[in-house]
Amino acid sequence: MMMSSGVRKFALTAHVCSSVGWLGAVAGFLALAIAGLSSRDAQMVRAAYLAMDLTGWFVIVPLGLVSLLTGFIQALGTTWGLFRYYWVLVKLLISVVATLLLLVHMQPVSRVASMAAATTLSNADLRPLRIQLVADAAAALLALLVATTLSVYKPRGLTPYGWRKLREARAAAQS
Amino acid sequence: MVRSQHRNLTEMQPLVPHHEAQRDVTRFTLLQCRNTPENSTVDTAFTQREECMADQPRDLDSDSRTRGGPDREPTVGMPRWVKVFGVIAIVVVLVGVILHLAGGGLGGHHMSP
Repeated sequence: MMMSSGVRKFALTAHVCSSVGWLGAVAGFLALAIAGLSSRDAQMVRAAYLAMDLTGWFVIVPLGLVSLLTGFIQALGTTWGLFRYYWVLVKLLISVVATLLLLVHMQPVSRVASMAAATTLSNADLRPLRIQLVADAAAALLALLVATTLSVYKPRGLTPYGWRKLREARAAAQS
Repeated sequence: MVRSQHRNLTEMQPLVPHHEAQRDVTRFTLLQCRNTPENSTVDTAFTQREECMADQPRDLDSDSRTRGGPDREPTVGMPRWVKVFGVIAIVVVLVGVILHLAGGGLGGHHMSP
């Protein structure tokens, strides 16, 4: 189903805003994760993990879901399609995997945050998990940067399904 | 009016595809774009086409041209960047899994509160 120009631009605006917002929020999340891991100030550590929990659940998760949803709408409502171009397909995979991993990894964030709220975390407390949070945030940031780059450059390449749809369109145009 | 349309057509020449594949592809794209009515004047059609194609697919012609020319059926092949991307993705996933398993990072998911 093709969208009208106005609806398409609105959907595109929503998709760009949510995607770029997601990217920026993850960058902030990474800064907090590094601060929580490296700071010697107990108040700073506590504040960092509490802020990560809040930011994660109330900013990053909603933005990720909105980005995924508006991405689906953009793909299905325009001639790009969801499976016609490799770059759209790759971006879809990145978004789906990133959203799933985000939802899985928010539980450890909440646990670290609740522990930080209840006690004073020493440098050694939950160290592997806190390192993992830094690595997860860095990986998520990298994945979102790749997705953003794909959106801008739109590298060429049609999938076999895309070629089939093109041939069908050619046949329909000639008949 | 006719002169104006002729001038605009002339100005559009560099943008108009020359060989068959490009024409087909452009038609394919424009057919998908419902904002370009068939009976539009050159001016309005051109404006609407530009607006419509601003974020629409436009690399079909490049693929046809590089993969066999306009008169031949394009061969379906995976671009090099997709292969490179796939290899990098597999390596990253493997490294992530190994780090999780070796470092016990996944233990965090099962950590008691």
